[in-house]
Amino acid sequence: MSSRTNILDRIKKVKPITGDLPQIPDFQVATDLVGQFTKSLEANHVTVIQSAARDVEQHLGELSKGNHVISGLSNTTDIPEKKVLAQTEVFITRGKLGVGENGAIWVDDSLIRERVLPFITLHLVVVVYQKDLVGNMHQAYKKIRPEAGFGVFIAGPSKTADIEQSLVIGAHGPKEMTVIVETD
Amino acid sequence: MSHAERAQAFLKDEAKTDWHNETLWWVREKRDRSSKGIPEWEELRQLASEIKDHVLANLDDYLVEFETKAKANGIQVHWAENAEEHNRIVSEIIDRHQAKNIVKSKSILTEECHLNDHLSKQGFEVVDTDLGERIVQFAKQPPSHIVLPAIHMKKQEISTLFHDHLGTEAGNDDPVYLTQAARNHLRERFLLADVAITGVNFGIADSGGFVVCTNEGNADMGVHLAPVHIACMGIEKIIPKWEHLGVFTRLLARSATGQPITNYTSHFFKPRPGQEMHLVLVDNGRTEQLSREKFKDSLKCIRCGACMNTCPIYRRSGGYSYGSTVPGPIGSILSPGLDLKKHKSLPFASTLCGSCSDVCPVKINIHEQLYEWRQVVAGEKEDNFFKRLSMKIAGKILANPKKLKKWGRLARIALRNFPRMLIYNGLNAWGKGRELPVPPKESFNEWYKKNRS
Repeated sequence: MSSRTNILDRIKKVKPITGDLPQIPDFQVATDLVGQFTKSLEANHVTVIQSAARDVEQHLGELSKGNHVISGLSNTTDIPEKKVLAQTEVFITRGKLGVGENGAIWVDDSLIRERVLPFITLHLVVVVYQKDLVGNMHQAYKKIRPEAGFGVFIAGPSKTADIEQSLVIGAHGPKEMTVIVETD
Repeated sequence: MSHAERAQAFLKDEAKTDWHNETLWWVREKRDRSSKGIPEWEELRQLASEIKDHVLANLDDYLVEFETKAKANGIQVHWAENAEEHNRIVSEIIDRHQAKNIVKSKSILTEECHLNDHLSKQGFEVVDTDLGERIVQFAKQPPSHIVLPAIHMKKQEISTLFHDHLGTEAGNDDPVYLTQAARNHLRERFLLADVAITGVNFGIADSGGFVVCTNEGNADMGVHLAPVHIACMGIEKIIPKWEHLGVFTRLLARSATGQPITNYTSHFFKPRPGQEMHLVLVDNGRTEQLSREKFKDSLKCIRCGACMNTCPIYRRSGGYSYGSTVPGPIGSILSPGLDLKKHKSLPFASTLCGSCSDVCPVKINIHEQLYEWRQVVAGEKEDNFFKRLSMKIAGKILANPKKLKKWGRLARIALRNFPRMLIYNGLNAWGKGRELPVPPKESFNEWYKKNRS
C-alpha cells in the first residue's frame, strides 16, 4: 500500500460534509485606476512615470544610461550565463496587467525569457499599458490564464523588516523599481 | 516544561517583554489599518472560510486533481505520510543529484519535519535564505514566529551574530548595513545552489500549479538559478480553483503584516526548461486532525500569523514558550493533536479572549477549540492532580447554597483578618502575580436580605 493510497483512504473515511463552493461577487473598485495604482506603488517605494507611447523609448534610455542592461522588450537579447546575469543592473520588461489595490504587476514566461531576471537585477523597470490596469485581484485573476510555466505578481523592490522591524529596501532582489504607465 | 514555566523565564526580562509586546501589537495595528481599507473585508473572510470548508470536505478529490494536472505539466509529485518519509524523499532527491549546495526559503512545514537536522545528519548543509531564518539559523535557534522568525531578537544581538559568522564590523547594528551583508553572502549561495527547497502557500487544484509568496525574493532567487526545485506542501494547503487565489491573495499579506500584498507572489506551473521540479505532499497528522470533529477546522489555517500578533499571551511570552514548531493560538490547537502529552499546557496558555478568532482570515474558531482541547486534556487526566482536586472541591461548594454561604463567609473573614504572608502563600497560584480583590463586608445575599426583602 503506497503512502498515496493510505493518505487518500484516510481522507475518504473521515472527510466532513459541507455545502457548495461560494460564488465570488464583483466588488466595487476605484474609479481612478491609474491614481490608485500609482499611489499603491509609491507607497511601496516604486517610482512611477506616466508616459505617452511616443516618449517611452526616451524614458527607458534615461533609465539605462551607462548601465549593464537587459531588455525583455527586444527579442534579440541573448541570455548570458549565471555569473554574468548576476551583474545585470537594469532589466526592462513589459507587464501584462497592473492591479490598482496593491500595485501588483503580472509578468510571466511569455514576457521574460529567463525567470531569474526580474529578481537578480539591481533595478527593475516595468512598462504597463494604462488600459491593462484592473481594480482588484479578482479582476486580475479573471484576465490571466494559468498557461505560462511561471508567472509572478511583482508589487515593489525586494524588502525585509526582519531586523527589529526596520524596513530595508533591497534584500535579495532588486534595490530599485520603476514603473512606466503607458497612457496611449 | 509547561508554557507557564517557560513564560515565567521569558517575563523575567521586563523591558524585553514590553518591547516584544509592543512590536507585535504594532504589527496587529498595521493589519487593522489595512483591513479597514477594504469595505468587503468581512465578506472576504466568509468566502475564504467557506472555500476552505469545501476543501476539507473534498480533500481527496482535490488532491488527485492537483496531482494529475501537476504531473501533466512536468512536476514530479511525491506523497509522504509523515515527517520521516518527507525527509527521506527530500534527501533522496538531493543525494541523487549529488548536491553540495542547498538553499531553502521559508517553509514552516520543513521546520515541522525537522528537515534541516535530518539533512545535516546526512551530510548536507542547508542555507536558509529568508533573512529572519538565516539569523536564527546562525543563532542555532528555531524561528519564534511563523512569519517573523527573528522577531524576538534585537539588532545588537543580530550584529554580534553577523560579526561572528559574516565578519561584519563589530558593534555596527545598522539594519541597512547588516541586510546588505546578508544580501552579498546569500547571493553567493544562490549562484552556487544545486537544489532550492521552498514551501507552498497555495496549491491550485484545477491548474496543478502552486504559489509561493515572499517580500525578499529569496524563494525566486533560489529556484530560478538552481537545476532542482523541491516544493514541500502540507495537504491542507490546496485550494480548488484559480479564481480563489483572488480571495486568498487579498487576505494573506494584509492579515500577516498589514501590507496589501507581498512583493512577490510567484506562480509555478512547469519547471524551467532543463530543470527538475518536485512537489512533496505531506500528511504528518493532518488526516488524523481531519477526523476530529471539534478540531478539523484548524486545518483551514493559511499560516498568516495574525493570531500570534494579537494574542496577549503570545505577545508577552514569546514563541519559544510554546515549545512547538507553530506557536501561539493556532499552534495551541494544532500541536496537541500531534502530541497531547507534550503540548497539554498549550490550550491553557490563553484567557479565551477570542481575539485570535476575530483576526483569523479563514474564520477558524480558535478560542472555542482551545476550550475544547482543555476538556480533552482534563478527560485524559493530563491536567495536574492539585488542579483537579481544587476544581472538585470548588464544584462541591458552588453546587450547594448552604455550603457556599458558609465558606463564602469564612473566606471573607479570613481575607480581611489573616496576615498577608498567610494569604499569599505558595499554594495561592492566583496571588503570585496579582492582588486578590478586597473582600466586601457582606455577601450580596446578606445585603439583599437587609435592603430589598
